[in-house]
Amino acid sequence: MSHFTKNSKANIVDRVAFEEACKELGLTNVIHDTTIQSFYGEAAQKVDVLASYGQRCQVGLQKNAKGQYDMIADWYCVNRETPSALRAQMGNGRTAENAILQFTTKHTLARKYRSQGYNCQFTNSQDGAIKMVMTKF
Amino acid sequence: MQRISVTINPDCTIEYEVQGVKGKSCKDVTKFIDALSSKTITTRKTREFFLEPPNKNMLRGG
Repeated sequence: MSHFTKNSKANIVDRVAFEEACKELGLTNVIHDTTIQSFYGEAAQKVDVLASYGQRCQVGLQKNAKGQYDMIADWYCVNRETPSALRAQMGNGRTAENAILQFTTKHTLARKYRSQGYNCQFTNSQDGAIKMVMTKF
Repeated sequence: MQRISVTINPDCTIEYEVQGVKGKSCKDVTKFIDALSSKTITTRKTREFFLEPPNKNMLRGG
């Protein structure tokens, strides 16, 4: 072991990873360059990616000034029409937003390190953590 | 074998350990993870961090 580190919340830098995370969590309908609606449809905002489930469960990504992405949603809608896969990851204080960010981080790291020749394996802990082991010979 | 063990906590903080990379080059292996996060909360270097990595340009004596 050479060092170990604890970092703050990850930023979203890989929109493909976000799409993969949303699909894994049941927001399977993904479209690009569109708008996201609020619950009553009174507000709409442009997004680079929109992942949705049903009529109202929508989560979008907007590129920010840093070149990273901000997640945007009417979380009231998401919590009303939550797909079962996402619902299964919620609870014990973990919100839908945290679950999507956690899975996006998993896919971001997997895509990055696989591209560098690493083998990636995942396990889900009972405490809600995702454990990843990435190895390269 | 290089091995990076990562835990993505439910609050989305990231913890990781690196094994099998001697010297400061282990920082290169994980710089993507550090860049992904806004800030590092804690970090601790272990003995392996201070070991010299193998020198590829080392000449054999004869």
